Amino acid sequence: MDEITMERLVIEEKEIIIDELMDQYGQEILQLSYSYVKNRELAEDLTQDIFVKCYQSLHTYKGKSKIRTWLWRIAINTCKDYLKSWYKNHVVPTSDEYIYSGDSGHSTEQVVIQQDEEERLAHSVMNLPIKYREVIYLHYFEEMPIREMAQVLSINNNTVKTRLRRAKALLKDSWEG
Amino acid sequence: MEERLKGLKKAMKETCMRELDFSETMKKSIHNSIAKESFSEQNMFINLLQLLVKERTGFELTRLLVVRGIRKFEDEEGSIYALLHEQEQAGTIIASWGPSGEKKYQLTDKGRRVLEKSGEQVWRASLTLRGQAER
Repeated sequence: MDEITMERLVIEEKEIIIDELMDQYGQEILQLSYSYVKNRELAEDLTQDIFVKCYQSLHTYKGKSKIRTWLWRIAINTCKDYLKSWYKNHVVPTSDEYIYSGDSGHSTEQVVIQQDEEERLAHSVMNLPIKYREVIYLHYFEEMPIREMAQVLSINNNTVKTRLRRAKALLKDSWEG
Repeated sequence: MEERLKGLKKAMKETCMRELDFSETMKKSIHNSIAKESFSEQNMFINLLQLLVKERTGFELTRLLVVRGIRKFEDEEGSIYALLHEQEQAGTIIASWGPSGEKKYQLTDKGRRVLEKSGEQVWRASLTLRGQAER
């Protein structure tokens, strides 16, 4: 029996691979998911879905890209699919955890000004629209090179660069504004 | 901004991501979902091979799998063809065109061997499945 056929049957091997992937990337995937959904519990659920999906499609991994790139694509698509369906089902975008809920007497802006720089930086990145947030996150949090970002986001290198530039401009505005 | 962004990882880890922890509990729970998933996956695959002892179209297969309690392909009609194509590539099944232009699939000798080898698993899988259905 050749490998392709066996792959559908050999369960243990696949589980070992997933186990290793979880040890190596579990925390990063959880953080990545959070950067999309801004909610801890949701990020945990999505992380679970991502690894199950990864298990299901392990036989499609052909070794052409790094396994990390492959896993990231699955993760990002899963998060975006979730957000899409979420927006479809919720006409009114209600609270996400991260919109800072300080003392109700102050406006968000006032409260944010009082936070230290780190909190402010995290806050402004998390409040970027998704397509800008994701490039900032991948590039600066994960230190991913442009080429790999293009792969995991399924867009071309120049688009990545353009979005990064735009994202930084937005951040600068919100910082100085 | 560039300089400031270099501190993003630290900034996020110490603020909004402070509580994120990929725990052993999560890992365990993922393993559980995978175990369920892989059981039904294997069960589906074996049932598919069994059905292809006779020549069938993708449409027939989808319906017959539903009869056997496998609803995976019911909603996503195209997905059975992806699987059939994959198995065709693997040489376990062969496709031919019927008189009215429909594509029919059947097990090859190699496919038969795969099925026989997994025979015991089939038996156990179907027994367990029936056991669950009756409960």
